[in-house]
Amino acid sequence: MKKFSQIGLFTLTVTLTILLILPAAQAVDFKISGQINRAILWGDNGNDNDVKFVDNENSSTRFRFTGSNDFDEVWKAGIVWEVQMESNSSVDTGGRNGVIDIGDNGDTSGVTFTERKMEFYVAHKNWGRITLGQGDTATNGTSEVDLSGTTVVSYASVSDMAGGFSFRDDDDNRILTTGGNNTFIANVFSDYDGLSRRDRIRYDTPKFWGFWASTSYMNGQTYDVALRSAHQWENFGKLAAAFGYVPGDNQRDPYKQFSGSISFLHNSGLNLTISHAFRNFDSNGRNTAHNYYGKLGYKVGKWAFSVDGDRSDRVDQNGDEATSFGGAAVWNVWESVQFYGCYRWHKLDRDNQNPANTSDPENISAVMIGGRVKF
Amino acid sequence: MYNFQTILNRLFWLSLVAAVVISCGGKPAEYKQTAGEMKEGPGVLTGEEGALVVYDSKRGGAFPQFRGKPSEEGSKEASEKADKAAPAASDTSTGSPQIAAGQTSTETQVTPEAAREFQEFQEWKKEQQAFREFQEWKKTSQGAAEYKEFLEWKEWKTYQEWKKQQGQ
Repeated sequence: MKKFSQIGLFTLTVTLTILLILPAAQAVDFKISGQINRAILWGDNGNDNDVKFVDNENSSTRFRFTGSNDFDEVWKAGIVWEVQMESNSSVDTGGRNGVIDIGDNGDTSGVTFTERKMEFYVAHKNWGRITLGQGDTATNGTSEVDLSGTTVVSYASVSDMAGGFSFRDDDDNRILTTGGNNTFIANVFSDYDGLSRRDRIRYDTPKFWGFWASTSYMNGQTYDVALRSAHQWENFGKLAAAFGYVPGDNQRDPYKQFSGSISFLHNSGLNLTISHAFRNFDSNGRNTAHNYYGKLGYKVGKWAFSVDGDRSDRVDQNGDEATSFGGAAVWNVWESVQFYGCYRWHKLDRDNQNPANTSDPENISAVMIGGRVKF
Repeated sequence: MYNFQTILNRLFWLSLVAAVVISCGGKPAEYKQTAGEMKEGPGVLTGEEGALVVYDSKRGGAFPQFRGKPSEEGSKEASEKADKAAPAASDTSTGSPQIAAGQTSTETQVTPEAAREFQEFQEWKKEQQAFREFQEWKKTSQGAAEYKEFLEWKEWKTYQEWKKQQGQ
């Protein structure tokens, strides 16, 4: 592991040196952009139903600053600073009882302001790109390749839509986790999408015939690798795929994890997406957790439709089987504005109830209707 | 003995390998992650650019999008105007003088599509001319206000010509 630290330090030194010795910038740009994504979320947990006003976690409200310099037509250096600013996130599970759960009547106290990306990069036309800072790890997104056009409300991370709703039994008793907290939708579904965003150093190769690879190294002496591809056939369609591997087995990530996804968009608008990931826990007593996701979609004009299904096994604890089905429609009314709607059904089968006197969890239905506006 | 989950696992990883192999027969394409990411494309306040360009040295420095570049809505409006104008032109007995001049009697029966296409071509030619004039003007390094006034004058002139045509 010491060797990896040395490599990281060496890469950083090289990067900074390159930045200092490069000739004056040939082209400079600095831009500000952002989006607001708000929705009305209705849910029914089998005992009660409620309407919530939320920030859609599928693609949260945020803004960003980006800037770049071109040097000698082959070098490029830039920055990305992207922050998320949510009020009532649709996946908020804060505190013991959550905030947007069915039956809760308040809003989040104060707006949640969270980091997404704070990084700089140096890229060379032929050698690839090195990025340093908080941002996407190499494997982030490897479970979520999706060409359906409905990702604003429905994609492999199915818990993003109504993750803040908790499961209850038929007497309205809360289904608790082993830690004693409520079992939210977000606790039992996961697409195991790599290592998400972290403080890391990342390297991306240039593209070779539509293929490119990435690796990142981060705190906890942990690293990951990913391979991606994107190709198209003029009279047929487009295919994109990704594969990610986290060797893990360390204190920060005590597991091994594989993730992959494929999406195909036919020229007719029909599209198919599949995703699978599994996490092989290092800790005793935990069985390997899996996620399977499939989506069939159709894009026509300004509309995109999809139906999907997801199965997450043993995400929260052994003996858990979580299933979800959904249908979504997205209307790209103008290029900068889209409206969407989605129905999603969630089911949890849990072998080991905690506390033992609760019975089987009731199913949760949810409907989200909202809009995303880029400004 | 394989269970259903094992079969699913193997099917998925086989599909992934197959996808990668099949990809070798295709042309490399652009792919940008959309799941969880910010919306791509134009913005309601920032137009086609999709971002407030604070500085772009290639386009002349600070806030280049506020320097007379027609907005997306403006372009659409212009094309809609052209759409409306095209049928009107084809309805008149004389049609567009440029079309009539270079065509035989059989070819003068111009379809609305052809008229629109021709009009777009004319507009494109005008834009090219305007761009050349702009390049010339840039060499003379006149003020931005003067050039804006020049563009407005050109627009006004075009509008006058169009109005004249409508009156015929």
